[in-house]
Amino acid sequence: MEEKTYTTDDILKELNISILEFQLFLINHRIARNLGNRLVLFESYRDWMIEQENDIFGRTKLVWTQLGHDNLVRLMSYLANRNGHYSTQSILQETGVSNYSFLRRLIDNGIIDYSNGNITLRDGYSDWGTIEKDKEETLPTLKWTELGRSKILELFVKAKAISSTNSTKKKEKPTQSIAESNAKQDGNKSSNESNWIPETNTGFDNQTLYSIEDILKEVNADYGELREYFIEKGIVTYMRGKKTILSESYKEWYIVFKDPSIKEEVIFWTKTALKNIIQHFGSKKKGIVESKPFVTTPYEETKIATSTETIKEEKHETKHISNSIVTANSSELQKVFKTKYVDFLIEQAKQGQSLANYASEFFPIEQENILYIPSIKHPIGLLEKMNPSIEKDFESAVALYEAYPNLSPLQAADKTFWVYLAHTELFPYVQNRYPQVKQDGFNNPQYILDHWFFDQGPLRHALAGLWWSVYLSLDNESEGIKKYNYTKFIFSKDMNLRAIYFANSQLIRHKAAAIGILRFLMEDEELCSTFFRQRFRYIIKYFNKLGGTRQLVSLDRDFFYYELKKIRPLIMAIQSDEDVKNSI
Amino acid sequence: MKINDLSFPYPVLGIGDDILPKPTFKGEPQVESDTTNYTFTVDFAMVNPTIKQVADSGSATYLCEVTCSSTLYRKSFRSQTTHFVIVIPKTHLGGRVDFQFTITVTKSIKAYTNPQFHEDYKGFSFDLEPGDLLGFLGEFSYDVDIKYDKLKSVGTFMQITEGPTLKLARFNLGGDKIDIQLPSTLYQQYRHSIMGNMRLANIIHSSIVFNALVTALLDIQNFGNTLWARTIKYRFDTEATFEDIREQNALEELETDDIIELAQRLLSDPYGRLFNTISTLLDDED
Repeated sequence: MEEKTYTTDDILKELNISILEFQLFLINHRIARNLGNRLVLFESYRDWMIEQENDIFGRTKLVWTQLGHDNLVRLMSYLANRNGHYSTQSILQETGVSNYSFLRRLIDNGIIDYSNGNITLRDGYSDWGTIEKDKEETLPTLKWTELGRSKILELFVKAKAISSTNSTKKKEKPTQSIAESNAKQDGNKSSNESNWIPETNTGFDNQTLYSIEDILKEVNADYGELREYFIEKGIVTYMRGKKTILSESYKEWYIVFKDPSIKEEVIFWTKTALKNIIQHFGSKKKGIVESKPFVTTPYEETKIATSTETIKEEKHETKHISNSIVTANSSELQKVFKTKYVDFLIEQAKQGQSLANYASEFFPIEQENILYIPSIKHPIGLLEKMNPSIEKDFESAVALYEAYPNLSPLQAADKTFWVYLAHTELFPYVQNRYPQVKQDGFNNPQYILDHWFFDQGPLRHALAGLWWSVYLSLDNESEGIKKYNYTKFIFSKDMNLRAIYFANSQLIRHKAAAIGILRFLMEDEELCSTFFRQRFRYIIKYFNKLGGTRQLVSLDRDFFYYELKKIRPLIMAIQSDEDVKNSI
Repeated sequence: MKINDLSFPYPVLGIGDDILPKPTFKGEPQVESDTTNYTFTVDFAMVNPTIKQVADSGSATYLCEVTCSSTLYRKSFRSQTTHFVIVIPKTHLGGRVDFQFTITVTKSIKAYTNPQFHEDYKGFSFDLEPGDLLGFLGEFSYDVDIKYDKLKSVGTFMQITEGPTLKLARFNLGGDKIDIQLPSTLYQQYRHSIMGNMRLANIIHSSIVFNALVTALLDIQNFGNTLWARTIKYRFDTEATFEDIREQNALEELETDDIIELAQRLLSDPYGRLFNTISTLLDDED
């Protein structure tokens, strides 16, 4: 007899739950994981579903087996009454990120402290976990409560969803949560595929930020009054014009952003700040019922940007920043180090004081030395895509490049960005890519300065070098994976060629020259099979000489390609460094 | 490529006296910026009917090459006339940006000759290929990091900050600004009682600020890429008030006496302001 099967709809009806609740149940209890927009059962649950013929064209669909059905119903009933405690390992599986990314995110969000393998919850998060002693374990360990687990999942799942949405959002109704908004944008997919986010934005407070002008408007005070209050209360110790020195004791009142376009730090005030300021000045002063934040939801931002030209003009300075941070909570924005902190780290490395830190699991950093970049979202899961093996440099470079689609050349030239990544989020990658630091007796500060900092320029930096190599070799005229054809080629050659002769050449910065030359080389296997480094150097030398009398920047990629075809015999004649030296 | 240092195998307008008159800038290049772009407007005066005709026919173009070493930016902009309006996103430029203007051949030209050739070339003609130069119009640099509108302010190149681990003050020259780092106790005193008080500012300028500036200027050749050094260099190279010192030497090669003089001029006579302040304080006491 054929086994009875159940569609998902059958089970939903039986359990009287929504598709969203069902999907979350499967994910939260590690029965299935979310792969893009598909649900895939973990290996141990594969016999809970089978493929069944679905239509006359022989197409199949997955349905639940009797075993799957029975177990699901039993589990859901049991778990409904259980106050579960979860291990960090189990939550790791659910989030699908590495242990490092998990801990780093919780540390950065001020949720936990981590020391010698022990996790401790910080003040205010005591109901997220509890200390338990397992039979097998000698030391008590932290187990997460249901509240803690769900909050952590929100932190990761939501960030993932936001980072994957298109930045050109349509106007949504003002009360809509970001999660709902994201779900709506996927409206063309079937309901089973799209909504991996809870319909209600449970407990996730999308942080609202206010410029100083917003606050002045809200409390109907002038700048002098506000300054007097701030100084009297000790919130700032200095406040004049654009210069404000903030007090550490009030750090929950503000977030400092770095605006790369004006190279200045910009302060935004939090809801806590606004609430207290209103309390001080008295909301009756202006008859305030509810505050109107400048930066709130996509809807609010659209309204500001499109209402009238006058408003645009008034908001000119601050709008530039708010455009980018409008959909992002500060925890979702990319962070960078303060310049001064980078200088401090360089000094420490130079003096050999911090060498041991480069061999540790974590590089200790001071949170107060961090700024946010409003225009760049922090990518999720990048570390997992970066492979420290030298043979995988190309894959790592593309993953890094694609993780920051909005990174401008100006930002990519900023050492604070790359030094931050190399010491925090991508620290394990850099450490394993340049593993000498883990060797016993390692004592080579220059090695650190070269790969974690910009001592030899950005192209030798472990991460910036990858990004710039992609940027310079990318073929903007091709689409999809094809645009990386030339990138793949330069990564197939030795690293010195990529970092020294290719990226450092002024000629290569003219994109047409880069592509024309790479196309010629890729097509000529014989020429590239021997003395490649020398021949490449000769080519650069040849064009540099030619550039003495011709404006190479005015010439297209075909010129470079055919010029090399023309001089191929000369290139083939190059067989040593001496030949390069004596040529031309 | 520094074009005007080159010798070409044929006469090029703007190089030596190959073809006269040489083109010149028509006024100063104008730079405007909004939240997203820089707009550079540049005009040249050029009197050479033959070259103009070649450009008008489409066999050559007026070309500007823009390079920025900090962002590895290198791009060319074409114009149909000697009037250039170049718009570049702010996110593509950082630090020094170089502009070089040429008239560049775009289609092969057979037997190019020009009635205004120097007499050494009279009777000669030349075959030119795309990329060859017909003329060099000029070049200039612009530093997008320098706050040109606030150049006179000492704050553009100097700052006082707290050095929490310091027991004595020190000067850090490696950052964007000359950084006077004070031990925490001194810094707190500075912040609460001195900062913002103009009278006291005169005393500070003539003491620690002046000391820091002289120290920095003595070592400027080692910090040439920093923003403070670029800002001071721009002022030194362009302001009339430094002309006599400029005639002696380049900024990086000044003698100690000249550096002390330069520092006093950059700080607008700090000793004079100090003595005025002392007089006022004495008057107040009386």
